[in-house]
Amino acid sequence: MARHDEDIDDFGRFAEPALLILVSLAGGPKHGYAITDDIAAFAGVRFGPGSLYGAIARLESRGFIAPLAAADRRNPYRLTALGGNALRARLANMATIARVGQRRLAQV
Amino acid sequence: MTWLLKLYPPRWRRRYGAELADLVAGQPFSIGLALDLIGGAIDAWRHPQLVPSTSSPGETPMIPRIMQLACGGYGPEITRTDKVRNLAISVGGTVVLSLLWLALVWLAKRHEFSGQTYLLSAAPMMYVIPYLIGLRYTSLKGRSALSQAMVIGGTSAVVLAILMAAGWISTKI
Repeated sequence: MARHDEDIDDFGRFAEPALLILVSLAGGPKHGYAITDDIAAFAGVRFGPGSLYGAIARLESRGFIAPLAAADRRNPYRLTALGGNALRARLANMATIARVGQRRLAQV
Repeated sequence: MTWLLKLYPPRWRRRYGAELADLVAGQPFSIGLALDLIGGAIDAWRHPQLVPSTSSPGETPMIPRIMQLACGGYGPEITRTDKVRNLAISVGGTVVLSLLWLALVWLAKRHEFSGQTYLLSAAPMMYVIPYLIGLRYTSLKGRSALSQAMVIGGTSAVVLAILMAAGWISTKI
């Protein structure tokens, strides 16, 4: 189980975009526009800019992601080691829930 | 739609404004987008701590750095011995003065002294005075003897006056 300060549970309504941003950045550094497109491609949801940057600000303030030097107005972000740990813990937790859910559904 | 970004706090706009404007500019107007930005602006005002007080990533804030230098360069240099002395005076002085005060209370009761209320009101001074004297080795270290005497004596006098006033009021109510 991840420590509380390494979790995104307390992000409130930004928890879902935060999780998807971490998944997106696990594939390599991206700027906001690319993150939005990537999330739309693998998750089928497109977050508004307000929600996206609300989540980015939270992730950055917690050290889960870090900005890279900007080539232009678009500032790319990368996943930090702390963010990687948080993502791993969250995905493991989700995998456990999915496994239990599928096992129980099979018995219905 | 970028005009909605003016709803965001200035610090937030300095940090994320250009990126957000870039993202917003590529989208057509919609009620959903406007509501998303308004919601984001409200959230940004409610959580100002999310954005550090720097105008761009990687920039070091100047004021905290100056404050750091000021604190490091101009504050009193307090050694471990100073801390021990401060603690010894605060605790030891409180014990000694408290014993003295107890003796005075005992004598006052024995001789039915009329000002017992004031004596009881002065009880907190048994801690205040040693605490203030202990500051000679911390906050007041390096100050002239006159400054130290004025701070210790002046503060003690003011606190004592307040306690005496409270004692007097307690006799009237």
